[in-house]
Amino acid sequence: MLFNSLEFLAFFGIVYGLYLVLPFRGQNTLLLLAGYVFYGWWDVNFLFLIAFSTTVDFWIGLMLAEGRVPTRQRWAASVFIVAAAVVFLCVDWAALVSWFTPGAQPLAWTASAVGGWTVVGSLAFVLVANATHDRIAAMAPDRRRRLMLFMTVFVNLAFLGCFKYFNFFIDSAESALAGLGLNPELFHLHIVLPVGISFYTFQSLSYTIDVSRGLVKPTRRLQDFALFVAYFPPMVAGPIERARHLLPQLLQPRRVRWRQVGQGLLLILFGLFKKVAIADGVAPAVNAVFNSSGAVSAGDIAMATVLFAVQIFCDFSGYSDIARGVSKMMGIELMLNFRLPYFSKNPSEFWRRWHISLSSWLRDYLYISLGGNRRGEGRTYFNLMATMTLGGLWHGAAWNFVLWGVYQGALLCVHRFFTGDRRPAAPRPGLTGAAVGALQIAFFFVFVCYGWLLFRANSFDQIVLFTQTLLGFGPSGVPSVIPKPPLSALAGMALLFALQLAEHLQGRLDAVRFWPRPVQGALCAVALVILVMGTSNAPVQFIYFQF
Amino acid sequence: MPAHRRAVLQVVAWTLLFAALIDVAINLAFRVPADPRQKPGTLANYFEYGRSVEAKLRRSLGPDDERAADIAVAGWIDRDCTRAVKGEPGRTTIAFYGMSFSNQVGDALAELDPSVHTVYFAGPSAPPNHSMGCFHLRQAKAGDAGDDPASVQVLGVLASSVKGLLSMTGATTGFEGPAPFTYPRYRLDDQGRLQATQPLVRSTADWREVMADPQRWGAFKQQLAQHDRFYDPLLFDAGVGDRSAIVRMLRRAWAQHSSRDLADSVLGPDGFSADPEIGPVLQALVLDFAQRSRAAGKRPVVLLLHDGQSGDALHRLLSPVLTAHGVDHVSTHEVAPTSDRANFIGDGHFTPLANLRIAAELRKQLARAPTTAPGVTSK
Repeated sequence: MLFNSLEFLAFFGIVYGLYLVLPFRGQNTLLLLAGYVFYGWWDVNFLFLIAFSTTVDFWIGLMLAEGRVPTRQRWAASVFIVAAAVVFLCVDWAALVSWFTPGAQPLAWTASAVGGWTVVGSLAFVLVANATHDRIAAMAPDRRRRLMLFMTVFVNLAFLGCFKYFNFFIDSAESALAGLGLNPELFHLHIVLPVGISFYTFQSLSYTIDVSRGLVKPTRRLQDFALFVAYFPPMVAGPIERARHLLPQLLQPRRVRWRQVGQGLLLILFGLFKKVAIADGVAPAVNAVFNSSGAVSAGDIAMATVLFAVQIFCDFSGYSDIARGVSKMMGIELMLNFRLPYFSKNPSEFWRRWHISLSSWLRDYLYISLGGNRRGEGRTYFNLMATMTLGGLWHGAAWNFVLWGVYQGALLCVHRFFTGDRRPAAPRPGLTGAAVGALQIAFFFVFVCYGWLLFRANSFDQIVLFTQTLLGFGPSGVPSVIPKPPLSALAGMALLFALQLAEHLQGRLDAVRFWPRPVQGALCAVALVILVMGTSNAPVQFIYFQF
Repeated sequence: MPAHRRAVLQVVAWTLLFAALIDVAINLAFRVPADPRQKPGTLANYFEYGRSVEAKLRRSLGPDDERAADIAVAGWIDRDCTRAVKGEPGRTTIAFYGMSFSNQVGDALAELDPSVHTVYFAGPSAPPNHSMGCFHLRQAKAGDAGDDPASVQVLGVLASSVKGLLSMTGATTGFEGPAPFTYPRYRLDDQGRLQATQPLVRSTADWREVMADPQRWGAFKQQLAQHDRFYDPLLFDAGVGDRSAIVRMLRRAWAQHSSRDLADSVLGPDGFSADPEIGPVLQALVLDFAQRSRAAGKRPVVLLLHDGQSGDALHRLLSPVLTAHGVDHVSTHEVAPTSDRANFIGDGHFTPLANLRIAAELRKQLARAPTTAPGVTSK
């Protein structure tokens, strides 16, 4: 279910209406069900993965904090995982849905081989977990902690490895062997990538790691933890929430305040504006260049790359804004994920402003775990490169994402080499300072854009060809093929730039809130009209859904 | 009232007020000229796109054909396809049935080969049912008068126009710039024979008369509702919504989405759908074209024109059938692939260079001896 669809409008209308009238526990049950419906809209079968991840991390969280899982929680988790296997993998949901249409066939119980084996596997898992529970509970605390941490990392990364990276590594191995003159046909998994798997896996993983570090108390109700994993606004494209931020909000009675409703509506409006009017508007121009099989001029490559920088920002931050807005309207605050990233002057600043929930996740759970900058200069560079390379790989199973990660790591290393741990100098006052700042921003934006070229390219060959063309070594006399973006995108980009510039100059993201109400109203009206203009653009799936 | 609630409601009220003002301002600043022969400015055109089909047609049809917009008088089968065509001594006359794409290929062919004389029977973005309606009418007339000098007949099939097989008029398929010309709707009966449903409106004069007569207007809309899958009363019928620029933009979005959904259901990434009213009908139409053309002693050639994101969809759908029945055909998917944007100009047509490459392929095909196959009548 896309945020920019009529289906979501109806879905959220119903959920929000019920949410406002239900008591606290009822609200949480509603949100849990809504999360499963929201995700199941794409594929009901993959809800089993969420249920499995939920069960394992709930169990491990209790083991980490309390050394044991109380009997009642063990029963709840055991029943939940087996029931999830039956409900999500053995019921023919397509038949169930079509049952409501006229002339439908009688419903049949169509347990597939996968469904049947998963039920058996779930039963076996439950038996093994319960049988080994007392032995693990009796272990020395430190050993138990290490085992549980290994289990949570192993299970969550195994999901990612299996569904996201397996075929990539097999393909790469085949290519490497082919380079040696061998042509083996290795085993491939014919599966599709579950939407948002990287987001909810990292969110769930952050819970167990935070529990092990004593930063968060484990939840003793499976239903509460299931809601933390399946809370629908950030579920498929972030922000990647932390347990210590989201769980307390989910566990406490909430009151929806008008201030939050107002801010939520504003976030939703501007999120939709960014996605529908701008991102979807420039997508055809970007695709025309990057999907072309013929020669492309340097001007087209540069223009398409800049437009892709706009597209990916508006697409992703648009999703984050809508997720935050929807959540705010329910009285739940989500993390800020973008802070005017294209106003960054260097890579370090960029990663404090871009996809903040991922970059801070990588910093907290990977970079710092590797030693951060505490083990000498050489090791710091290694840690930066490793973190960013894995961050690149997190985005997708393809070499261009790895290359993008390496590129970002290299930018950070070069920046660190020249600046070290020094804090950035205060900007010079006056016009000179502003001009120098603008030049720094423009200079670094070129490097950001080249990173997006690596990110968007369809193949390694395209990266080489486009880079050569940009450097003047490509074919000459190639006519321009890039189509002009629609009016909604052009007007939208102008408005967004003006708005972000004002926020940058005023030094606060919520600058609009302090403007006179008629000005706020005028701004919203212009954004609304441009959004309406953009509704004619062909809808494009959110880019980050594939990650 | 609490301060936060008041603040939110005030901002919402200001937003609605400014949105209404913008709506009025757009209507005042970007007016479309009343005379349909005058072209509106780019922005006026942009904000006009979402007006209902009925309202746009009422303007474009004008009081008579002399005072109608160009698009209103283009593509009418009864008028265009019954006109007399003369051959030129010493030159081979080739008749092209299709649309602007096939016309441009024809022009390029004439440029490459001066011994070729081309004549065209086309409508704006005409679908194969328009071309075949035209071809059938012309055949019947030529059968009566025996005055068709074309020894080669080329049927151009444009991938993006195939969806028009589900329609009866360009007024429903092209929401933003509706072309009122009409054409038959073809289906296959139980025995696999082509059956045509003819439109109730067959000229701009018909449109004007029908629109002035509520009963006939209702009957025509009823026919569209029954036989034209692109017909949608929400997009077609005029109403007060036409007065608001914002409502027009929303209607345009609705039109884009419903048209895109329908187009995607016809032609997707894996080629044409299995819709029985698309693939089988198109295959039957091109074979009917070949059979009738040969029966009239002419050489049929089918030109498969791939545009947009169609890849080689037409080639995959039609080439096996055409080859099996020995029908000469040329496909653009190799000489001007859709994956290379350099083959296309901004409005989606082929570049002059691509047209020349396609024409060269057509010329090569024509230089070969015509093929025949069992099951196809040949004179």
